[in-house]
Amino acid sequence: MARPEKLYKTPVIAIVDDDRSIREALDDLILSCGYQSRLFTSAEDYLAAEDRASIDCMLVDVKMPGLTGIELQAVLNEQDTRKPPMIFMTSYSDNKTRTAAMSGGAFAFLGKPVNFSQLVQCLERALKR
Amino acid sequence: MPSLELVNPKRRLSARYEIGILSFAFALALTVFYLDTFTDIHSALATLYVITLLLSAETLTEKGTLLLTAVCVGLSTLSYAAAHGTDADLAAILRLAVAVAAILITCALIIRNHRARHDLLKSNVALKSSEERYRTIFEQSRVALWERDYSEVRALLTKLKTQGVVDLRAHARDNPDFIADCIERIPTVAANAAALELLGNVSAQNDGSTRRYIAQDDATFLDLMVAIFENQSYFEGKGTVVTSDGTNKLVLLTVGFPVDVANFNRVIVGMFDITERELAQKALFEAQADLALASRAATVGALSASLAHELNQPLGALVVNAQTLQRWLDRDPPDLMAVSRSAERIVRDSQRASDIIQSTRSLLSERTPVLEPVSLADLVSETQALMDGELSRNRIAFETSEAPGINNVSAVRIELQQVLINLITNAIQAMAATPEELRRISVSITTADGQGVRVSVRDSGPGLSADILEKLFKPFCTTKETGLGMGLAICRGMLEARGGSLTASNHTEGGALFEMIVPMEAIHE
Repeated sequence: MARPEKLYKTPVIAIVDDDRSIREALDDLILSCGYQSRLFTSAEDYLAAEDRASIDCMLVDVKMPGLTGIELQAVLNEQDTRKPPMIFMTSYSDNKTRTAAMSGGAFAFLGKPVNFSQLVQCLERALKR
Repeated sequence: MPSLELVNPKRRLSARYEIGILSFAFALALTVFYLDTFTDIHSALATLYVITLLLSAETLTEKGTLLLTAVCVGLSTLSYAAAHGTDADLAAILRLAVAVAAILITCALIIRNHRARHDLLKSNVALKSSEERYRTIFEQSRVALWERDYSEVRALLTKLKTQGVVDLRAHARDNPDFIADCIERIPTVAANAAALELLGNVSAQNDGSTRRYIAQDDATFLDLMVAIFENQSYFEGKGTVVTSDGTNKLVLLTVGFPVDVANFNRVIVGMFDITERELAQKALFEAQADLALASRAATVGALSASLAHELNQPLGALVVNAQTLQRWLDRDPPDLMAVSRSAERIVRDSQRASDIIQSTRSLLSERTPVLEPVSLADLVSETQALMDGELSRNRIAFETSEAPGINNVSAVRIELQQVLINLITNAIQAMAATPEELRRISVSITTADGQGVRVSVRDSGPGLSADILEKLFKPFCTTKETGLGMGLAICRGMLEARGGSLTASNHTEGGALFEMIVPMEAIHE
């Protein structure tokens, strides 16, 4: 696929989710929005990636084996590098988790199953920043 | 040396009196001897020695009497020899013979009398110690015991029988005063300490006490009357008594009826307080039922939580995929390649959701409870015990009948019990508007023509309307304001899953009739 040149860079969205169905569905959704996505199966997988600087936004599952989404946010907050806006998605939208995510600087906290238009709008707002 | 004892050591007469009598006897003997030897009276004077023997009989032992007899015979012979020498006087010899015979016969009679009296004394002593033992047992037993006079009530029952009464229970139903009348006819003769303790300190002699402590709706007393009526030798039953402070106690009642009708005036009645035991057992039953219910609820809860979590992923993906597909289609021109990719993922995720449900189902069937041999009669009586409070609160008579030769079934005990509890609860609620004296639940256990065992639960309520009968087993059908309407639907499902069935109808004589068929061997997947 021909890449648009430097004038306009296609936004890159990282999807961090341990579930393959979710990962692939979100991947296609992002593609249909005209963005580009990078898929990670876990928080550790994401932290191991080398060129994280190119990532413009993150869609992160809260509950994952190993580091949770919230813990991943804490690790990123400690690192000096610029952190992209993080959008959390979870089936367990309890207040405690939400508060932990928002106070850690999350951009949004969405319930699963994901409200499609809410997610699309949320992505657009995050990328405008 | 007892063998040489001539005088009876056990005196029954005062010593002075005895010495007087003996002196008289001695004097008499001397007089007789003198007259017999030295006078010429032609009569059997020696016969009078008999009086000496009789007078000293009380004082002498058996050996003493024998010795005295020998002396008397000797004296008679001596007198004869002195008076007649060696002349053979036939008349004199005859007189001597008569006298000796009289003395010997008297001796024999005295000894026989002695022995008879001795035996009588011995058996008297034995009787006395037996009575004493009985008293000790009666008084000191930890079991509450009464002696009651049942002779009058027995006479009444016998009279009824001669008047042609065959079914005493029916008679009692027709004559409401019958029970009270019977109770009144049974006075208490004695009660032991444990009995007084059991009922609180009521006076054993108080005639009214019997009536006072038998609980109002106690059916055991009638059973007891039936046992007497049918000439049974023994009665055992559970009854409720009211103690002097007004609390109810559950007792095990045992009555052994005497073989000799004359002894019905002192019948031993034993009671054993089993309140604690029954309460503990009931608590155990309730705990088991609660546990079964709780574990079922917990299983359902845990299961639905895990199902919800598992299904959320593919369902979430499905929604996103479907909406993304829409976006590809809305493009101009539509991106059909992308549409195809989305559709493929939709198929795959749907399959995954279906697999989750499938594996949950197989997981569930692996966890089916174990089959065990179940006696339906026992199960019914356990369930009755479990619901005893509910039944008596609503004043409902509960009857169980079991056809002979019913075998145990192999079933999941708790499932059958849940169905029974459901049916009995429904019956209780159905009879809320029925007059108290007519409220009755009859459970009968019969064979179901080779299919298994049929358990019928019949109430005496208004029965089921045609409208209700039609949709009774459908979920969410209820006649109760607070009911969910799931009970019967679940019961039927549970029985059918094991190869049984549950049907409802109206009994020809009124009331609703629920029949469950329990197969001999439950289906076990």
